[in-house]
Amino acid sequence: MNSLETILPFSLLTQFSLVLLFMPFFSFLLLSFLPLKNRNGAFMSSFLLFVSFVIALFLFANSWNNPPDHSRWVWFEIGNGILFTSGIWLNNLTVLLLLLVTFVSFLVHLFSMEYMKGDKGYNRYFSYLGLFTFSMLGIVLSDNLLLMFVFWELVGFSSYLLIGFWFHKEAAAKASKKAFLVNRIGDLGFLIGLMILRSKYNTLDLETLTSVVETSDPSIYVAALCLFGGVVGKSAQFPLLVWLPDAMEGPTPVSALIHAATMVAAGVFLLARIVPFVPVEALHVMALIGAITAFMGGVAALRQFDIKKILAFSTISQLGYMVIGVGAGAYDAAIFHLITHAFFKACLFLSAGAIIHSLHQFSSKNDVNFDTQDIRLMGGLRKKMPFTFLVFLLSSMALMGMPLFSGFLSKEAILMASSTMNIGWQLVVPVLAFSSVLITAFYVTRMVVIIFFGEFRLPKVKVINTPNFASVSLIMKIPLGLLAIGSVFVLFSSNPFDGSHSWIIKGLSSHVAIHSAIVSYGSITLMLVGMGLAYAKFKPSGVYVQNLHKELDYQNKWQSLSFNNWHLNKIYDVVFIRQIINIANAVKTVEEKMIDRIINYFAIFNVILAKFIGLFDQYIVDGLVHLSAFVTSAIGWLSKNIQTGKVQTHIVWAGLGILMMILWFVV
Amino acid sequence: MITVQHFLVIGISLFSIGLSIVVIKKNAILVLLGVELMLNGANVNLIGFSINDPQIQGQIFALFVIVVAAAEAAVALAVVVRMYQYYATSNVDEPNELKG
Repeated sequence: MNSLETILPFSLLTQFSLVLLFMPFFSFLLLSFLPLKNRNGAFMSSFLLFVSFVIALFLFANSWNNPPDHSRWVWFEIGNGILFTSGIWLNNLTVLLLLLVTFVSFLVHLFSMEYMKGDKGYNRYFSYLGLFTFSMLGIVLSDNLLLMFVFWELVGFSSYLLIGFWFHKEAAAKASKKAFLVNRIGDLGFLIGLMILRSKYNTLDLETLTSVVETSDPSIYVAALCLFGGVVGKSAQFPLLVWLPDAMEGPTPVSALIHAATMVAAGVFLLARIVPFVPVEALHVMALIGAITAFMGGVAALRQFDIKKILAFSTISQLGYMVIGVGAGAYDAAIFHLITHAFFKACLFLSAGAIIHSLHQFSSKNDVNFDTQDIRLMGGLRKKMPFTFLVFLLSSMALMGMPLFSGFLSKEAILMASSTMNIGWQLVVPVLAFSSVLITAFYVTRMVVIIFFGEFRLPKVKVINTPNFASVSLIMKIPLGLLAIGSVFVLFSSNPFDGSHSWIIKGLSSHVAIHSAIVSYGSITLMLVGMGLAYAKFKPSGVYVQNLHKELDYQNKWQSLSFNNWHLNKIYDVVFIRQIINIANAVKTVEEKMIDRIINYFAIFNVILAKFIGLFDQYIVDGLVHLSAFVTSAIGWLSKNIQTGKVQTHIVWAGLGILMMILWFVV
Repeated sequence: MITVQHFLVIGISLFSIGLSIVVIKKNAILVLLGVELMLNGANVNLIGFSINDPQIQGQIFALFVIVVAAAEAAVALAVVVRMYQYYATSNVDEPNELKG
C-alpha cells in the first residue's frame, strides 16, 4: 500500500462529476454507432451537453469557495504493491473550468447545428465534438498527472480528428498531421516530467505532490520545465507555435471551441495545477517564453489577410499572456484571462464563422467563387450583418483590453504581475507584454475596420447579381449574443477599472492582488495609440483600403516576416525537417547498401544450404525409406509366388506339408 | 498266397495314381476321378488289413466309404456344374482368385 495516497470515499459531488464527464462521451458513442437522422443526432448531443452544463452549474454552486472535494480510488497496481490511484478533485479552479468548458461547448454545439447543416459528416462532426468535450472535462477533473496525461492525449487526438474533419482537402489533412506531430514533441516533455516526479516523489497525485515537493530540489526544476514542454506544445507557445495557425483548416466552430477557448487553454490550466510546487526560477523561464510568444503572435497577426489566421495568431498572443501571468506568479490572473479570453475569442471565432457562412451562401447564390475568409474581399459588412457586427465589436474591445470590457480586467491583472519582474533580464517580460498591448490594439482595429467599415469590396472584383445577404439565423445568434455578454465587465467585477477585485481572482488565490494605476493608464494609453495608428492607416477612405481588393503580392522584408509568422515554418523546415529527412535518407542508404545486402547474402547462403539439405533428404533419408520398402516388397514378391491361386498347387504344397509333418513327428 | 503286402501295393498304387491325376489333370471332372481313385486306394487298404480280422470291420467300413464317396461324388459334380456356370470353364487352372 502506498502510504502517500490514501483512498478517499466517493462523495455525492464526485458522482455528479462523473455523470457530467460521461454525458459528452455518451453523445460520442451514440452518434458513432446509432444510425441517426441528421438533425436528431445534433439535438441529442446538444441536449446531453446541456445536461452537462446544468450539472456544472450545480457543482459550481456547491463547490465555489467551499473546501475542495476530493475522491480517490485505486486505479491499477503494478508488480508488488506499486499502486496508481486516480480520482476527482473539485476545487475552485476545477468547477470554474467545468462551467466554462460545458458552456462554450454547448454554445458551439448549438452554433454548429446551423453552421454544419448539409455537411456529409454531420453526425461524425458532433460525435467528435462529444469526444473532445469528454476529454477536456477529463483533464479538468483529474486529480493526478497521469490521468490528466491520458486525457491530454485524447484531447490532442480529438483535435487531430477535428482539424482533419474535411480530410479530403489536402491542406486539412496536412494541418491535422502537423498539429499532432508538433504536439507530440511537447508531450514527450510532459511524459519525461511525469517520470521524474514519479521516480522522485513516488506519486503523481496533485494534492500529494503539493505537500511533499521541496521547490529547492533541482530535479523539480527539470521536471517543471519538462511539464512546461507539454504546455508549450498544447498551448502553442514559442517555439512550438506553428501548428495553431494551420489548425484553422478545421471547421470554424471547432476553431472557436478547441483552438481558442478550451483545448489550447488546457496548457495554462495544467500550469495552474502544478504551480504550487514549481520553483520560481522555472516560473521565470515560463514568463519569458510567454512574453516571446505574446509578442511573436501579435506581430504575426499584423499582416494576415485570412480572418481565421488573424484570430489564430491573436490566440497565440493571448495564450502567451496567460503564460506570462503564471510565470509572473499570478496564476489567478492567468486563469482569469483564460476565462475572459475563452468568452471573447469564442465569440470572435463564431462571428467569423457567421461571416464565412453568410459569404458562403452568398457565393453559392450568386454563383461566384472566392475565398470566403479573405478580409480583402469583405468590407462594409456593418450594414449587411448588423448583429454580427455588434457582437464582433464587443468582443474585439474585450480582446484589445478596452476599459469596461472583460479583457481589460484580466489583461490588467497580468500586466500588473509582469510589472513586478523588473530585475535584470526579467525586464524583457514586461517590455514585451506592454508592447504586445499596442500590437493587439493595432491588429484588432485593422481587422474590425477592414471587415466592417467602408464599402463591400467583393463587387469590385466579381460580378454580383443579387447583393442581398441572408440574415444570420436565430440558432447562430443565441451563442453569439451569450458570448458577447460574457465580454462585458459586469460579469466579472463590479469595478470596471480594477480587475484585482474580481470574484474569480478572489476565489482562486489567497493573496491580495496588487493594483497600480500607472500600469492601467500606461496600457490604456498604449492601446489608444495602437488604435489610432491603425485607424490612420486603415481608414476606409485611405489609400491602403482603397487598393486593398487589388492583388497585394508585394511585401517588404518586415511585412513578409509578419505574414509568414517569422518564417518559423521555413526555419523549422531547414533546421529540423530537412535534417531529419537527410538522416532518414542516410539511414535508408545504410539499410539498402549494408543491411539489405547482408540479409540477401544470408538468404542466398540459406538457399544453398537448403539445396544441400534437400539433396541429403532426397538421396539419403528417402533412400533409406525406399530401401526398406524395396526389401519388404522383395520379400513379399518372393512369398506371394507361392500363392498361385491354383488349387492343384495348393494341394501339392499341402501334401508336401503333411509329408514334412510326418517326417518331423514320426521319424 | 495273397498276403497283406499285395493289397498294400495295389492300394498305394491306386492312391498315388489318383493323387497324380488330381495334381496333373486340368479338367475338373478328371480331378474328381482322381479323388475317387484315391478313395478306392484307401478302401483297398482297409480291406487288405481286414483279412486277419474275423469280424471284418475293415470291409464294413469300406462299404461305408463307398456310400459316402457316392454322396461326395454327387456334391462334387454339383460344384463342378456351378463352377462351369460361373466361370464358363471346367479348367481348374483358370479360377485363380486366390492368387496372392
